[in-house]
Amino acid sequence: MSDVKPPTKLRPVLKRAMRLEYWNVFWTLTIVATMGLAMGQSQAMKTAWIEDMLGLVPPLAFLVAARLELKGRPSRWFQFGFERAGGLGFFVAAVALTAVGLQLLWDAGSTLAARERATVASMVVFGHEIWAGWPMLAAQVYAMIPPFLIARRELPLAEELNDKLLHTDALMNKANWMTGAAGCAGVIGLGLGWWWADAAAAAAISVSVIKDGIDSLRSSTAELIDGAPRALGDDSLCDEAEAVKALLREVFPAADVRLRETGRVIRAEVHGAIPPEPRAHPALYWPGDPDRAWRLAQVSFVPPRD
Amino acid sequence: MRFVLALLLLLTGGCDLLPRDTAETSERIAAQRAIRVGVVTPIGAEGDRFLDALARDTSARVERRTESLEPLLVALEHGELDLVVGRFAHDSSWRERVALTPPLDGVKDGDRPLAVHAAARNGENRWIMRLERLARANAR
Repeated sequence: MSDVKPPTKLRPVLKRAMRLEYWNVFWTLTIVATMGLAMGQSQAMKTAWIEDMLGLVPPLAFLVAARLELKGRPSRWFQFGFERAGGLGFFVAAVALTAVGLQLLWDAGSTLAARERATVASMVVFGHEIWAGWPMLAAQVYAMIPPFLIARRELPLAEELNDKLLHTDALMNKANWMTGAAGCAGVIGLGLGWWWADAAAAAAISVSVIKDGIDSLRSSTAELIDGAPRALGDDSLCDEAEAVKALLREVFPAADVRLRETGRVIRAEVHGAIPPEPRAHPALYWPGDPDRAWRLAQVSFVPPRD
Repeated sequence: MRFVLALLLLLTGGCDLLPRDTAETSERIAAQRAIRVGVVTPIGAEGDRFLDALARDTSARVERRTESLEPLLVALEHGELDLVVGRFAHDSSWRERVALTPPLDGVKDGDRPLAVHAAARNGENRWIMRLERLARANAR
């Protein structure tokens, strides 16, 4: 047996995560507007602005996937419901995160290679001439606050829901506020006359963003092609799934046990074994914390040929 | 948090220190008391008035070099000049490569196909701020 809806106890957590993501989208839009107004010729400001816009992809993907998961009903066309929508969203978010990292690195590298010097001169605000770097710094500092706070709230929710898309969004938010910090350092560096400071700071940050992006890409493609369940934060094998596999092997020593992940749940196939009598609910094969037993949604058996 | 505090300290203490020039144009002019200016004639009365005001403001003499626009702008990019005064199209592709002040004659940028601007080397932010301040005053 397998359920196609998220477990009942997860629904309020999922709704909480959705509310957080609506706020995330709202704050990101205000950041995009503020940065767009303050953005001058600064390379770091421009990349941070593009990054902020791409930062909308994971929360929007999460909102679409979570809505499908909560409201979507199995139909003739989608007989398993929409639990894997999150997996697809995770892949889309991973592509966005990697693209942001590569874009940052390319921009920073080409600025350094061309020895481009950014002009950040004066602007007139209410009749006063001020250095345009000050509003840029103010915009950057503002742009750091929402992602920093949202990322901290997302991580525990992502763990509770075992939601990789939400986890990737937390990484994206981390990348955003770190880029904001790099942008501040860059603008101050420019103000101090160090033309390379802007791009050097952006390049340093981009390497960590690319690493997070590639880890997410590997993990998300693994899920889409029925790879073994991966850990939440990286591409290593998931400890919970490994424990399930060990238990099933112990109970069915002659069988071949295969595990895959569909969305937030694990599905197991035991090849070469006859289903036990009386039939057991998948939760009984969960060796860890019973509160997390919802993770094992299905244990199927493929009996031997003879 | 520590970063924000450091930033606030910098903001309050460094208002006058920032920005500085990436190639120290302001410092060199102050030390040598000379501004190397490329001029593309005619720059009109507003151009001359601007250069006089600049000489007074910096207590430096203006050394003019007259030539056509392109060679002067290339010399500016290479740091052989501090400033070029001439007429620029409002959609000139040089706007990316050098920093233009607002028009010296007070016409709103883009209202006319050609306007007299002062151009400085990109990244010389303190110097450019001074030029922009004088250009706005000149236009008034």
